[in-house]
Amino acid sequence: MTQMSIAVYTAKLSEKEEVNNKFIWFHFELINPNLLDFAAGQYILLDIPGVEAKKQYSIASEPQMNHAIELLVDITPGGEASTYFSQLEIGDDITFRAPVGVFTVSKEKTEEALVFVATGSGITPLRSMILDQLHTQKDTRPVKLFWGMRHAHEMFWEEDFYGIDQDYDNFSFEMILSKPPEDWHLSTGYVTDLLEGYQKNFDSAGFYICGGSKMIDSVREYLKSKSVPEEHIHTEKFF
Amino acid sequence: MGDSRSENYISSDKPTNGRYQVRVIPDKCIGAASCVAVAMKTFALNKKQIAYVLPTADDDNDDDKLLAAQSCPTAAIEIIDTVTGEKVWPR
Repeated sequence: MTQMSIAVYTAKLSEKEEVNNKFIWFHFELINPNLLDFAAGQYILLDIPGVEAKKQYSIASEPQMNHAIELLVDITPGGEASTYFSQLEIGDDITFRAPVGVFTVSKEKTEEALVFVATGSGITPLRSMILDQLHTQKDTRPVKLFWGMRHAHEMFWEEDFYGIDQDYDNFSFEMILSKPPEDWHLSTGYVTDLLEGYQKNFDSAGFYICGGSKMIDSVREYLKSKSVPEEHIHTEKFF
Repeated sequence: MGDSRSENYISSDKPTNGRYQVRVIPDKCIGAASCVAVAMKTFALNKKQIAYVLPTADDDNDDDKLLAAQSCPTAAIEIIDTVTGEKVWPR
C-alpha cells in the first residue's frame, strides 16, 4: 500500500468505558488536525508525558469515521501506558502520530477469501478491517473471524460479532477459549485448532493475524505446513 | 525488500544525509515491524521476521529514524549521532 504521511495529532477523550477488568475502550475526538485519513489495520504512536518511547495502539474504529479514533487498551500490564490510560478523564487531551503501519487488507482482491485470526486484544485492528470491508468496501468475498481468549470473563465484543454474523451472509465468527469454565459449550483450545477444522479456501485465502508473538509464529508455521503462500500471510505482532 | 546480501546488514553506513547512524540488535527484535512502518527506506524484515538495515537508509531523515527507534517495543534499534559520537537512543 502507499504509505500515508505520518502527522502529529491532538485529540480529546469524549467517551471511556471499562469493558471488563482487563480492557478499557476509549473514544477520542480529533482536535488538530481534525480529520485523520487512515487504512483499517493501521495504528497510532502515542506520546506519554515524561516518556520518550512511543507506544503503539491499533485503531479499533472504521476509517469512515475520520473525525475520531477509538482504542481498546489492555490495562493489566500495569506499566506507564496502562497507568496513563487508566488515569485519563473525559476532556483530557492526548498527542499521537498517525497513521502508521502496513497491516492492511490488500486492495488487489487477489485473495479469494479473508480469514482473520486474533488472540486477546489482537482483535482491535481486525475489528476495523472487518467493519471496513463489510460496511464501506461492500466486500462480498467470504470473511471469517477466529478469535481466541484464555478465560470467559475476558470476553467482549462477541455479541457484536455474532450480530454481524447474522447481518452479513458472507461473514462468520468463531470464538475459542484455552481455559474455559466448566459450563462452556463452544470451542476449547487454540486458534490453530479452529483453523484445523476450517481448511476452506486455504490455497487462495488471505490470512490476517494479530496477537502475541508466540501465537503468530505458531499460526504462520501451521499455515506454511498447509502450503499457504507466504504472501497471503499478513501479521501484526503485539508485544 | 533489498537483495539477499543486504539482509545480513544490521548497521547503516555513515550517513551523508543527516547525522544519525542506525543499528539493529537482532537478538532483541521480535518482528513487530514498527520500524518498517515508520522508516520504510531504512528498515525491512528478513525471512525470519527480524529487522535489518536497507542500503537506502540515507533516504529517510533523522527524525523518522529516531521515531522508528522510539517506536520499537523492545528497544532493538540503536541510534548513534555520528557528529558527537553520542548514543541518542536508547538513552
